[in-house]
Order: sequence, then C-alpha cells, then structure tokens
Amino acid sequence: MTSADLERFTGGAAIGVDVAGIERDLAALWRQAATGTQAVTRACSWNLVVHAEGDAALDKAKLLADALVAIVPSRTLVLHHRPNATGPEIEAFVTANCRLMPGGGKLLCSEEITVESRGKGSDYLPSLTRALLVPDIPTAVLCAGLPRESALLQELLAAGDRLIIDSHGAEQLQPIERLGKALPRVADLAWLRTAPWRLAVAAAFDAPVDGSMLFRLTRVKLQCQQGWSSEARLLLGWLGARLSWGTVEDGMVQRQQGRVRLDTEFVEGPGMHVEFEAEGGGKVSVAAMAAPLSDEALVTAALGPRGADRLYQASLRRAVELES
Amino acid sequence: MPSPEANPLRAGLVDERLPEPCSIVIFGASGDLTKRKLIPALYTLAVEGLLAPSMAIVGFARKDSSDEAFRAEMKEACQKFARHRPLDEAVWETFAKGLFYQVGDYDDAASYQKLKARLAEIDLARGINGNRVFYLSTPPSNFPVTIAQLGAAGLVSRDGQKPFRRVIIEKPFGTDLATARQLNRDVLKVLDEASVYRIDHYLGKETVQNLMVLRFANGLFEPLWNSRYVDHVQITGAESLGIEGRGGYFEQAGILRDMVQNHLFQVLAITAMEPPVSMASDDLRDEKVKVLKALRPIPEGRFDEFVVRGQYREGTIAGRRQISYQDEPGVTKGSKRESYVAMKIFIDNWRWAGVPFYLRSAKAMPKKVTEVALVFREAPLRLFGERASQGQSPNVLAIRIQPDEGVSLRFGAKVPGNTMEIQPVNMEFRYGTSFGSEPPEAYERLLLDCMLGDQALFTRGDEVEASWKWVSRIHQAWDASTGDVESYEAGTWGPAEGDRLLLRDGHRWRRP
Ligand SMILES: NC(=O)c1ccc[n+]([C@@H]2O[C@H](COP(=O)([O-])OP(=O)(O)OC[C@H]3O[C@@H](n4cnc5c(N)ncnc54)[C@H](OP(=O)(O)O)[C@@H]3O)[C@@H](O)[C@H]2O)c1
Repeated sequence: MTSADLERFTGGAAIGVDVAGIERDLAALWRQAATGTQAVTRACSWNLVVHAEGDAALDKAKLLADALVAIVPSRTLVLHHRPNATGPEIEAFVTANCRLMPGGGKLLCSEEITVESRGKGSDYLPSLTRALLVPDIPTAVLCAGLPRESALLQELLAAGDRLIIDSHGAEQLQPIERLGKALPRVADLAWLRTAPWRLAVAAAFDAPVDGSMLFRLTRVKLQCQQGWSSEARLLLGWLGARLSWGTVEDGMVQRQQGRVRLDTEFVEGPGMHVEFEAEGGGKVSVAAMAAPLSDEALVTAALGPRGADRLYQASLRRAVELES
Repeated sequence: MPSPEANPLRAGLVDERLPEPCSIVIFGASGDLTKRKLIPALYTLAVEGLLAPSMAIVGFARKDSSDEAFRAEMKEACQKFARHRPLDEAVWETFAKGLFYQVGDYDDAASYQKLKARLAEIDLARGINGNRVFYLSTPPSNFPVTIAQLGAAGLVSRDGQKPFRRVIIEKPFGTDLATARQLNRDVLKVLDEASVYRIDHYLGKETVQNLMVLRFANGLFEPLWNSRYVDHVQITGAESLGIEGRGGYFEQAGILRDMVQNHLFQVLAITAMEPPVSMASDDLRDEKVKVLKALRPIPEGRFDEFVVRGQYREGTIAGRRQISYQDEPGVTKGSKRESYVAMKIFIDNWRWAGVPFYLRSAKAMPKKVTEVALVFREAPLRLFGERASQGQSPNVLAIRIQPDEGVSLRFGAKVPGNTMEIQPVNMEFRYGTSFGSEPPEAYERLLLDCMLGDQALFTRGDEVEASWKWVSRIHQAWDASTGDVESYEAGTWGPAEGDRLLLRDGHRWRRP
C-alpha cells in the first residue's frame, strides 16, 4: 500500500484489495492511517450489509447507507451482484467514510467494503459475508426496495438482527409476508413513514373524545399523497388490526355487528387526511403532521425501537387481507 | 398519558410519547430563557412530531407586544437557537399559529382574569380541553406572587384532577433552607406536589440520565459500586468563563448556590443512590433524597477542614485574558463571594461508609468540564516489582457529562518490550463516535416530560430542602467567619488549598 493509496483511502476513494485478504489489508490501512499526522478514530457500532441487485437499486441503497453511517458508525459491507456483467467473478474494494469529530482535530472513520460479483460469483457472497461481519455487534441488512429471493438473502436473514426494507411504491405488500420467520426483525421504511400519522390518528381519539366510537365506525375516508399507496394500506391495516376488522367485500369491511366503508383517494400535495364517521353521527377528522421524516432520519430510526415494532406484523397481515 | 383501554389505537404505539394537547403559559416571556431555550425547544419538539398540532403557547409579560410581534421575535430566536436549523417553514407555520402573547402584571389580579379568559378562548378555537402548563421564567423574586395569583384566579388547584394544571418552576428554588421552605409552603398552598415541576436542567442532560443506565442496565459496574472497591469519588463542574458581567446576580449567589446545591448535588445523588424499585418518579426521587439525607453534617467549627472557597484573580484562560473577580462589573470591592468551592463529603450509609466524595465547582478554570470519577482501590499486592509498580496506578472510571460526553476506564497495561514495565492506559467510549445523532437539549426533554406528567427528572420539595439543609450550614459558617477567601489565578485549577484538601488524605484531583 503506497502513501498515496492511504491518503485516497481516508479521503473516501475505493482501494482495490485481494478478496482473500480483505481484513488483513484493512488492518494494514488503519495501522498506517494511525501513524499519519492527523489522529484517526475508527468507530463501529453496527454491521451494515447493503444488498442490491442492479445499478439503480445500488445507488439508492448506497445513499441511505451513507446517511446512516454518518449518524451510526458502522462497518458497511456492500454486496453488489450484476448477474449479466462480464469480468472477474468477484472483486473487492475498501473505502473509509471519515468526518471531522466535533471540536475538530480527530477524524472519525468507519470502513466500507464493497464486493462486486458477476455471473456465478454470487455463490461466494454468503461465505464472504460470514467472514466479514465484525463480532459482538448487531447486523442490519439494508435493501433499497423489497428484497428478492436468493440463497444470499437466506444467509443474510439468518445473520441479520434487522432487515431494513422500503415498500414505498410497491404494487403489493404481499411479498413481504414471504419473509416469514424474519418478519419480527423487518423494519419497513413505509411503516415508519406512517408513524406520525398513526400518532395523530390515535391522539384524535383521546379523551374527551369517546374512543369506543372506533368500534361503531361506518366509514373511513383516507386521502393521501399520490404514490403513497403502501403507506396508506399500512395505515388502514393498522386500523384493521387494532379494531379487529374482518373480511372485505365491495369496499366494505366486516366489523363486530356492522360494516365499515373504506374509501381511499390519492391526491396531489403532501400529507394525509382521514375522516371517520360512526353510527349516531359521530365524526372525527385528522390531518397529518406537516413534516414527514426524511429517508435518512427513517433509516436511522429503523435501527432503534421503531424498527422492531410489534404492531407492524399484525398491521401488514391486515393490509394484505385488505389488498385482496 | 391516555390509557389504551379508553382508546384502542393507543395500544402498542412505539412512539407513545405524544402528549395530550395543552396550553403552555410562559411567565416572563420577554426574557432571555424564553428566546434561547424554551421556544426553540418547543419548536424542535414540533419538528420531531412530538407536539400535538393543536398545542398553544401563550407568552405572558409586562412588556408591550402582540401575537404578531411575539411570533416574529420567536421565529428569529428559533432561527438562531433551535437544534434543527434552518427552520422548516411548513412546521413553523403550524407552530406559529399556536403562539400567542398576553400583556399583564405579575401581581395584578385583573391580569390573571384576562389571561384566564384568553386561555378559554384559545381552548375553544384550538380544541384543547383545558390542560395547562404554567412556566415560571421570571426572576425568582416573582415566583411567590405569580403562584399566589394563579391560585387566586382559579387557574391552578390542589385537586390534581383532569384537565391537568402543572407548574414548572425555574431555578433557583430558594437561596437557603428558610427561603426554600417558604417557597415550598407557598407553592403547596395552591398546588399539590404532583403538579409541581422544579427544574434542574442538569437532570435533562442525556449523560446524567446515562449515569443511571450505566449503573443499572449493566451487570459489570454495580457490584463494584461501593466502599469495598471504591477508594474515593471526585465530581467536578468547571466553567472556563468568568462571571461574564453577571456580577449583580453572582454576588448574591456564588458558585455554591449557582452550581453545587442543585446541579452537582443531583449528580452526587444519582452517583451514590441505591437502585430504585422502579424508574417511576417517586421511586427514583425517594432514593435520591435518601442520599441527601445521609450526607454527614460538617462538625461545628471544622468547616475549613472540609470546605475550601476561592476567588479568581486576573489570568489567562486558553489564550484569552480574564479580569479578576474583584474587577468584574457589579462586584463590591473586597467581596468574599466564592467563584470556587471544593469540599469533602461523607455519605453515612451502608454502601458508602468511609468513602470521601470530593466535589469542586468553579468559574475561570482552564476548561469547561463536568465529570464524575470513581477512583478504585489499588490491587492488594504489588506483584511486578519496584520498577514496574512505579507505573501502576488505581483504576479510574470517569463519566464525562459535558462536553465530549462519554465514559473512560483507566487500567494498567504492560509496555511492549523485554522488561516488565506498567503504564496506565485509557479505554474510552465517546457518545459522539457511537451515536452520530445529536442528543436532545435538556429543555426539550424536560418540557416533554412535564406535558406527559412524568416528574422523574424534576426535583421534589423534600430533595430541595435536604440539599439546602446541608449547604446552608456552610453559608452560615462563612458569614460568621473572619477568614479570607483563597485566591487563584484565572485559568488554573483553583487555589492550592483546594489541592491540599485531597493531599491530606493522600489523594489528588484528576486533571480532567
Ligand atoms: N437564562 C438562562 O440561561 C437561565 C438558566 C437557568 C435558569 N434561569 C432562570 O430562568 C428564569 C428566567 O431567566 P431569564 O434569563 O429569561 O430572566 P430575565 O430575562 O431576567 O427575566 C425574564 C423576564 O421576567 C420579567 N420580570 C419580572 N420581574 C422582573 C424583575 N424584577 N426584574 C427583571 N425582570 C423581571 C421580565 O419581563 P417583563 O418585564 O416584560 O415582564 C423579563 O423579561 C430565571 O428564574 C432564571 O434564574 C435562566
């Protein structure tokens, strides 16, 4: 490793390394960096595995990962598979993500390892992943959209403490259910986006409003931003799960001793608005929070308690039922 | 907190910390604290979606102003002081609609009737069901009259019923035991203790809360946290500035009132307390109060052996000139007011019997730092020979509260080479490197907790009285003493007498 390489490394450039010796090369880079003029602190509190197939998905996932690493120092492992590309089956690069610590002086760095596989090279990814995870810290797997079935996915699901997905814009939520046993560890950014909505809706039924009117609903009219259909479905799924809604027929949902009419409308402009009507003429309407969280904030929240939300599974199941 | 039984949608919400809509009335809203801390904190809570959108904030003060002018002034304040900048215009728009201003006099009953009518009007317009928080942010001389007037106007009551009526009281809470007792009596005449929120913003700091997490969420530390393993404890609260032109205030207060009686005693109590039965507010405060009640009174006539006071003279702090305390505006020539205090405290309970707790707090120190350090007993035997043992020193667990929040553990390690040489090394954890996200401001946490009805991070009446009881004896001794205050050069770690306080016991202050 030359000193020019070293400067490029802490400066964020990708350095090609021997796949069989990634850890060794990284350790050598850090040792050299530590002897330089500027103090370097290497930090890591999560393993973050970015799993992407195709360039567009990779770009999106990388953006999220970069935002996350700035807040949660992590070893990032980018697994990029290009099934139809030609070239070596597998290649590896390392880079450092550095930022100046508050107060200046020290550089705070976390490392990023990119493994590019082509054609059959994907066969190597599971074992490489196993070898490259830092022990004793949790692992999060980040997919830009919904993950695709593969041997690698199974491996990642087994190793991961958290699987971050984003069902925003997905045609259906049903494929998420296929993650089966991994579901309790799934953090869906679309679900996290609905958090302020759920809070606002829940708050609207606090005393002095009679919360029991929720069990006598006749109509729920949801207006929501164009393109936010997954979020809308998850919100309705949550209502369905909390209020024990049954099957759907002709836009009407079965509830205890009655039926609820569900209307969803997508409109221009941000936010959401929902109107509840109940037997006896009760009406409650709720407007969404003005400031939905950024994707960067969401992905960071996904590593915290919000990313292991027990309500998600039940709400997802109901949302899938409402879909059908 | 609304119950999930009454509202099925509340059940299981991860972000359940959304308070019920309420009006917050700030008395003294034309002041500095409102601008710098309170409104920016509330705005930040709004950005984070933690305020009900229908919330209202009413500024009350004598200064002539209007809703519009108050909104404009507060917008400027948020642009300068809010944690999330630049301002999010959409959030600000919604937030500003809930900002109001009410001119009034603190001792004028009619002003409170007008306020009452205004609040009723706002409740109606914004769909608030009468929940109110009153924030006393005037100079403390105004607290009693404001509280009495709130009671007389029926804006607060002792029934503790819903809708809630809570009062937040800024520091200082009294200036000695007698005044603190009197203020407690005044407050409890019109309110029940469950509605009183005495602010000590140190408790809102993340790292002070983390002190509890470090102790009670880890199996490693608590077994060592007692007189068997801990040799002594050092608590430092140092400021790198002088009194910054606040001579008028500081001459009345001094560092013992300004920092020790409240902030450092809270840190001491949390460091020394027994594990509470739960984190419920009274369980936690019961444990803190037990520590404060167990502080051994300094024997009459022996204050100089336990307490050192100092005052800075001219010097330089981190390359900047600092004038002497005596030359600060508002300071009376020949004043003996202390800008430095160091003390040795014993806690007479089972856990800490015989372990000295050394506290120091001062202005014009070399740097700004607050930390707690537990210095452990040495290994029972020096096994590695004379030469090696020279580098052997006690283990130290240091909890840095500000700045560079973190925890470090010092232990001995072998110096690489063919000889047996030991050198102390530090294992460091820093918040900034493990969690990139910024911790909330103390006032954000405290305002939110008050709206949620959680008093855990506010001091209870008996706590305040217990700490004043111990501290007031020092003031009395100083008042009666003809002795001089020790002088120290600004930008140093205090007078030599402060060092001798520890040297006499074979200890020395850490250089944090
Ligand atoms: N500033 C801080 O960083 C800080 C930190 C910790 C604690 N505190 C405490 O928080 C409270 C408010 O702090 P602050 O800095 O905002 O105080 P401030 O600016 O001195 O006073 C706030 C307002 O109180 C009103 N007031 C009522 N009686 C007064 C009197 N006798 N003298 C002066 N003003 C009087 C004034 O408004 P009108 O004349 O318009 O009515 C003034 O604008 C104080 O109790 C202080 O001890 C402040």
